[in-house]
Amino acid sequence: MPEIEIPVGPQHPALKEPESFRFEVDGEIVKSVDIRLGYVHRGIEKACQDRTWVQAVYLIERICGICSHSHTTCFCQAVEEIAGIEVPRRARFIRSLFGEMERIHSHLLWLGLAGHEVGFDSLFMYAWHDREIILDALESISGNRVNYGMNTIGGVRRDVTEKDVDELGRALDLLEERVKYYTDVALNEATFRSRLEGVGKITREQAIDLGTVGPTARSAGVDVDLRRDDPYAAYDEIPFRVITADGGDLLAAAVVRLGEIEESLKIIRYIIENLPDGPIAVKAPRRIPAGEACSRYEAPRGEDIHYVRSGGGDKPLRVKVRAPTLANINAVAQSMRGARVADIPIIIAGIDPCFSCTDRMVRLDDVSSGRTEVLTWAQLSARCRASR
Amino acid sequence: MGADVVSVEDREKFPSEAEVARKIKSACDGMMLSVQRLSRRRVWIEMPSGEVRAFFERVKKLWPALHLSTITGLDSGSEIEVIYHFDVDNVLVNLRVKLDANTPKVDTICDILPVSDAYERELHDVLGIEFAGRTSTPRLVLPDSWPEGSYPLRNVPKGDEKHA
Repeated sequence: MPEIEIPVGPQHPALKEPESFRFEVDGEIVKSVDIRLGYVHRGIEKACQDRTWVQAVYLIERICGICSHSHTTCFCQAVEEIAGIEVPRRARFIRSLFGEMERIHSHLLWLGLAGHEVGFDSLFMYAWHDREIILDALESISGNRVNYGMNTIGGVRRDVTEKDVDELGRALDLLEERVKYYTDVALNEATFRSRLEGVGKITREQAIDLGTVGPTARSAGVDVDLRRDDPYAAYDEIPFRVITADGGDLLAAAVVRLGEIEESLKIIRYIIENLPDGPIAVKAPRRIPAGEACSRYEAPRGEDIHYVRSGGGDKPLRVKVRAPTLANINAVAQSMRGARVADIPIIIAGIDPCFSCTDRMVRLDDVSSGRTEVLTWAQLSARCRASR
Repeated sequence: MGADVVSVEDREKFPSEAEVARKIKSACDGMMLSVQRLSRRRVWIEMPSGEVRAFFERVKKLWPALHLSTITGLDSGSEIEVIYHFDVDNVLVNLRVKLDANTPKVDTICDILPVSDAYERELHDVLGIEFAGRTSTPRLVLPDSWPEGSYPLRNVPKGDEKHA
């Protein structure tokens, strides 16, 4: 049978973001794939050069709607290293706290999408319903579900109060129970297992050669985690386990991410029980002394790396960002070879490429009565919670 | 599944940045390599651009699981700098080479570290750096309609912004 080329993207209903994949298929089997990126390249690195150091933090927050805290922490750490700023201990703990809350909502988002891509839509709805628990907690502390605006150069902008800690404690109780259930589903539900087992597989050697990072690498048995290997924020004081698995397939990816949610819940417990007193930020100078630094962060999808150079002025000379998906995209190309056409969506989703959007106000049209109601986010949230 | 809880003592067993710098220096004996600076889990080194391939061949032999995190390029005015960021033994090594600003050119390391493919293509797009030894350097981040010879991350002389 002759090989046929199937273009998927840049705009395609099965993709959550614009990327272009050209699959060469022989019947149902994928022979090779050519990936083209850059469709959402917004020139943020260049734009940072025309913004002050503080303005750049807000722009960098918007690199990603899911792991916004990862990018700002990574950037602020680099700037703080250049300026020799010592971040207060309480601020470092709050950075780690938000980092773990972000990891939980990101991994639950992935779990839901994975369920959706394999036709298990109940899992998608359950996982995203429970993701609201952690998003509500993020919102009640920072005021935002995503793009929390917590980081600033020299520390964090908002403190965590006693009330926040109490609320977070209750959210953790609820989530711990739900995550146990999801782990049970992932490990024991026959249909879910059979759609993921052996799919999107890479070996440990390939994971290393392809430069994969984060859960994609860990699910192939590569024991890397920057929170342990290159500790930042408060991770040098927090005990935790690095979760790895041996399969290298998407089932292993699910096992790793669920295990990481469980670890993140424990880390959050540790943080709120051991949150040190003290200031949450120190004042940073408007002009950052000349110098350069390279900062790394274990984002939900893996290693995020920022290189920052200052010429001594009030604006950066150069900001370079490498987000984890670029490092993991090679694994998609590799594991696509020999895969079935039907598995294409889940293999792409397997590395968890990024997508997010958020509405602050919702208009409800009641078709039967013709009545239109405008609800604030709080009112809508209260209605949703009443049904939980 | 999963390793033991990480203790603070485990972290202290990691090789220090000084140790990594010493190993690199001894592996690259005879090369024009200078260690510029050490900071917490970071090593900054600089070398002439002609020796990049030989450098990575030797370092890869020493650490087969070497992880190339990314390659940064920047226009510092009189020259174009290329910085290779890679991880060995949990220390991030930053290798800097300086290229001529008019004809920035350096050997590719794609055959030694295939991961570098995307990073080299990006630098070719945004700074016009030529990577010698590649059969082709297709665009990665810029659209196909972007004008040839226009590099968005090159510095533009004052007053000349309109023509950038």
